[in-house]
Amino acid sequence: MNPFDPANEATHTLKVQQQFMLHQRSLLAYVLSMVPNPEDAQDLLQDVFLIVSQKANTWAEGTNFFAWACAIVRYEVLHYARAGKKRVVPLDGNILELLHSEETHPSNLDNQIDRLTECLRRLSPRSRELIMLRYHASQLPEAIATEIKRSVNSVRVTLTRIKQTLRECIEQSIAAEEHT
Amino acid sequence: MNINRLHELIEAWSEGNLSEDQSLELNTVLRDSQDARALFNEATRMHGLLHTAADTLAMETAAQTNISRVSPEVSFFQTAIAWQNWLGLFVGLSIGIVGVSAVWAFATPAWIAVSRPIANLSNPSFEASADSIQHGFPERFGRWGGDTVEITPSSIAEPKHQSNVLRFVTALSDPLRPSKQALACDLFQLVDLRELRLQRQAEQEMSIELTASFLDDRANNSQPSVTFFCQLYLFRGEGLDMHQRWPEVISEAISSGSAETTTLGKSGWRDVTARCHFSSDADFAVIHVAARPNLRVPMPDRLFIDHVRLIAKTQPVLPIRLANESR
Repeated sequence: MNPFDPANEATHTLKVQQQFMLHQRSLLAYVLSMVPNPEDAQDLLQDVFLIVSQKANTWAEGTNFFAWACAIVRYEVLHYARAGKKRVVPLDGNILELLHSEETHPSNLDNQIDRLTECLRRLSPRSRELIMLRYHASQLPEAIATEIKRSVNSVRVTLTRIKQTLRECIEQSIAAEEHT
Repeated sequence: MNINRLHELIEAWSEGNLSEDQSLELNTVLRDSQDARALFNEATRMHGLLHTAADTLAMETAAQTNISRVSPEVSFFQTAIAWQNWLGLFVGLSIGIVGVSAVWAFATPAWIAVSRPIANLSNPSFEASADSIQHGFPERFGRWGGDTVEITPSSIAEPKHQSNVLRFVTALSDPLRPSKQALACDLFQLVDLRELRLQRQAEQEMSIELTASFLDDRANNSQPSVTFFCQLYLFRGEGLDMHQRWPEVISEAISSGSAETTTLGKSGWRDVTARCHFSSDADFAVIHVAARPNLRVPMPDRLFIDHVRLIAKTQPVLPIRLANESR
């Protein structure tokens, strides 16, 4: 592609934006692993979209878009951390870099989200409801306890137990796939 | 470090509740222990996956035609999701990316955006009589229509603008789905955009913003929580049969935007703004405002809306060459 041809550049930028849409869910999951609050994570992802659009020419078609976008996410999270936005990114920048250096490459997140979604479907209605309140409605345990009239400790313990069940469900799903 | 303590710190991280001391403690333990870093990476990865998987499931649930009916004790969250809202959000995510790009462009300080109200929005502060509000989805342009609402004078609630406010009274089922439980009190208006389209110049980007002011005037910390919605959909065509095809026709929207706020009483007036890109082939907009209690209960008293604004924002088309700019 001739990078100085505005028409080619516009087409390429559009392709990059379409790739972003395709990977948006996985990218959000990746952001949320560093930015705990979903609204902050969405805001950061919007910033990432803008950077991705601006730097579209640095992605070459045929290479791994998700890995490229994840690098931009990491850069932006570090940018937030170093700008002192502790409410959004609670960890220090150097600790984040240390974590990134040891992290398994965040590939296949889409597949993991699908597995987990299927595991959520298999939960009992009551367990699923708790998970949805915590992770879809983004309510904290205190608010959930008030809403369902249980103690905060009981909500925390139950959420921990359900998360363990979900981990086991994912492992079983992977094992079953490998077996077949 | 005690593993239980590490779990507590991770929990506080995930809830956004890390104190200064806890933050220091977590940073220290992560710096010093590879095992702690491995555990933290696993827990935070799960945190991200859970949020996105729960959102995925909610969208699937919302898109289903029939919401399963289970006992209120265990089902309130599932049934409290108005599927139209999630479908709208999904449509917005799917087709709105160009619009998002444009809206960000408008937010770039180096470019001056020009805002002007869209005059075709009728009765925006509910000053006209209650007769002006149609029962059911509006059948013509320039008229509010929807569920049961009432126009209330300033003696009942302090208006945001001028002298009246509108109170959400009762949620009604969609005529196309009478068996489905009504979850939100909805209000709609069809707005003709053809004049706006003619005014738009070729070298301009344009977006549309729908802003409404909402008031939850119940006592402080009232249960259940209530979510107020602003949604905006752009369509091609004449729009004459929208009242017969809503909400299925949402999937035909060519651009959309959605915004919401959740309250627990004594909210004060809150402005909620939905934005979307103005496609050059859009003929009309459906604007949708709503109040939804987040438990399966009758519509709480004292939920109000006022001062609905529909604004067009224009700006010169951004230059394409942005890739070489450094941040």
